[in-house]
Amino acid sequence: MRDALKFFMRHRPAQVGFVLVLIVSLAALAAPILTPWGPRDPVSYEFFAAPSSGHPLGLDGQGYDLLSRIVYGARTTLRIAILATLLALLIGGAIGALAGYVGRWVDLALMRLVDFMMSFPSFLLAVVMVAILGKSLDNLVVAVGIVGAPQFARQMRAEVLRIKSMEYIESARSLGYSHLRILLRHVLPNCLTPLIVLATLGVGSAILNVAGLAFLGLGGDPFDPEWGLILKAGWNSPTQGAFQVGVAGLCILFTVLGFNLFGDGLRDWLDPRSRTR
Amino acid sequence: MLKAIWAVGLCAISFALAACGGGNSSDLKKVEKGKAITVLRSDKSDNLDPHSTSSGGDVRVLSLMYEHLVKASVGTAEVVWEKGGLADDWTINADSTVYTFKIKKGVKFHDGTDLNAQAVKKSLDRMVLEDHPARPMERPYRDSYFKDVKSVEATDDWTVVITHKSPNPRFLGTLGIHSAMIVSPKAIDHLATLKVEERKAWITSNPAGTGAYTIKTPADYKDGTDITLTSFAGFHGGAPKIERIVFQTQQDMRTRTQRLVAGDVHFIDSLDPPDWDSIGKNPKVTLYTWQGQNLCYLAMNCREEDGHITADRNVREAIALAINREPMVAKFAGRAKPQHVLIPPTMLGHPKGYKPKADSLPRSEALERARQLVKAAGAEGKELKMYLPDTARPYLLYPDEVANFIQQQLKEVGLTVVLDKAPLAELTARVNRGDYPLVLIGWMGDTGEPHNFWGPLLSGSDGKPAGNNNTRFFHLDVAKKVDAAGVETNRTEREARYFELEKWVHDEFRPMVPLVSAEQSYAWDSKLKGVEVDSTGTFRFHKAAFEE
Repeated sequence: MRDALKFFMRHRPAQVGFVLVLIVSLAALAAPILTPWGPRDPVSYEFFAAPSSGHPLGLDGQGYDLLSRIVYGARTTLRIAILATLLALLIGGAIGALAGYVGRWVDLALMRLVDFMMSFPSFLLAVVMVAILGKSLDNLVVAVGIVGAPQFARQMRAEVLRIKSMEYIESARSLGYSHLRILLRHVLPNCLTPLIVLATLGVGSAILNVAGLAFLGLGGDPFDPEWGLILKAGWNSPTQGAFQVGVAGLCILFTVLGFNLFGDGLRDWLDPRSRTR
Repeated sequence: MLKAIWAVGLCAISFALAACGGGNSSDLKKVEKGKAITVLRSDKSDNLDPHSTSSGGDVRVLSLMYEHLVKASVGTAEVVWEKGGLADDWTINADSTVYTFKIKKGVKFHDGTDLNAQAVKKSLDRMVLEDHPARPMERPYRDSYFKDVKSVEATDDWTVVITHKSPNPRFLGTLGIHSAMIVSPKAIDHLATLKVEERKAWITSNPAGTGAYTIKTPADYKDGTDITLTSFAGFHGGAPKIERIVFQTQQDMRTRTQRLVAGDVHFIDSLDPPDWDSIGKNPKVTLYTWQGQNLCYLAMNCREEDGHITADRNVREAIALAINREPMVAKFAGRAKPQHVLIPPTMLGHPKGYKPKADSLPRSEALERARQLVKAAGAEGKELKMYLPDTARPYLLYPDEVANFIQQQLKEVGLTVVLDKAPLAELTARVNRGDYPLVLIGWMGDTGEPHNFWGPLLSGSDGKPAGNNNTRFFHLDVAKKVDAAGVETNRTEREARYFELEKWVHDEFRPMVPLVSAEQSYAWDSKLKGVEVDSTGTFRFHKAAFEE
């Protein structure tokens, strides 16, 4: 643990990333305490009112307090992105582990499936999936999760293949342990670290995907506090909504940046080759 | 999960199909620059059968291809029906039961047939006769507009006599709506040989009117969002200078405006009202705005049999009390007027300054009273399903936003509104199934007569609400008074009867909450001169040309 701290103290980008992620996470957790208005409490009919002391970011096109919506937006956006990443990890991990451990035709079949999915532009695939599943934030989780699964599958398979050939696995097998036990107790725990790094980076791209899909009008209720939807609502009013677009856009930008920097830092720490620097 | 797997599979198939499509080059490229107009509109079309449609997205296209016996005035706030259509002259007898039209000579249909009195009779009969051999599947305007026509006769080659069962002083206006557009007799004969469900599709891609434009080959009607019209050389007003008109659809207001300013397209509709001032100053754009004869309203299902809580008059009263029009008007940047009655402000029969009792209470009192009514009716916490159209309408430029205001306002009095967004084409069928307690929608007048609102929206016939009556409200006395007002030949007296209806129906029955009446807008390339927009909001290009 001290080792981690020492690494972190020297790694400036990771610090920036960590602080950004921390801010957004705190905002998401403490949204009701931080904001005087609910995300859907109408304040006044002065749509797109300029920032004032009572409303530091002004009002949006529906007369809601923009700051409150942005803070609640952190909650919705993070929740969806994290759930989607977990789903991707779960699906991709299962596929990868199975393919890597069983090998032969199972590997072949599963990996061709993964190749097949990766040969579509992932964002378009997500758009079509939400269009079929129905427009709602919950379905965004499913769509973004499935679209994100292939990269986890590949990473997982590579790790499993690497570990499977190690001697301790061979010895476990010679002790007569069942495949399930070997896979769950001896292989998977040793594959997790690179996947965690990938998942941290994955949250960033999931946020982008979710916001993008919501922007395209696939988020269901257009007034849910979600950054992509907030951005879209501003976009719909050419002359007045520019400020709102900017605010929501910057939130997305810095959060994604935070997760990416933090993820990079994690990778550097976990990767022995880069640590020797 | 199974659904998700399906989704992945379907994605694969749709991508594959998308890859196979495309590749058919359009003739458009052959048209000289400056001879084609691209219209980028908010609507799409459903079908182009004048007798079958009731949607504005169809009517705007139809108006370029077909003509009426009468013509709407240009440049007046009120709609006046003038000569200049397919009838040169007409006479109306003293009690407005017999209309005699002199048909214009030398007019040809797109299919080469000549216009004469027999052709007019044949076309009108398709709307009038109950069992016409070529009738379309549905004729939504028939009940409210054409049921009282006793006969349409061609007494000689150039004279048509239309006789009514009862006086009908508003019939000139009726002849000005799309349902009375004149269709070629040859096309009607062909329609009669088709199955009833195939007719509107055929006439959609094989139009046969007398207007300046037509669809040259069925392939030019790709779908309701991609239609190419070609000028008709035999047009009786002289061959148009603009050879092609391409209709495309773009639901996003911002994109429509941007593409016009960029010069990609030449004509757009429904601009965002907060933009009007700045667009009006742009020298590249001609902006045209007018107070539309439209009404945006919230219909409340009044029919006991449908089993919604809105069948209780007190619940409807509570909803009316809870609604606040202020944010809706603000959303339109003030380019809409709050409405408290059925008839829009620029029309005959609009009682200026009158408000039903419920609309005159101060806000806090109204909310208090609404809460009490909801509680007393046992409707507290009940869910109400509300229809809203999935595309913006001229009277409802912000469907999501307005629906959200209504949701909020009704929540304040203890009612939960669940939104159901669906295409406009499905509305009538769903309403007539009794699906919706609430419908957020509107109506655009096309005849200038109050009956054009009262008849279809709050009345009916044979003890049933009319097809477009989203409130499903039917009261025999109201229906009788609506009919009586419609046949009153004295204009002042007729208006007085409509005033009386307004002052009675909203207070007594409260079938709907009128919300706003919006100003409408078009904008076009300022180099394009000679665009004609008449008082009903119909645009025509037969005199238009690009000038440098």
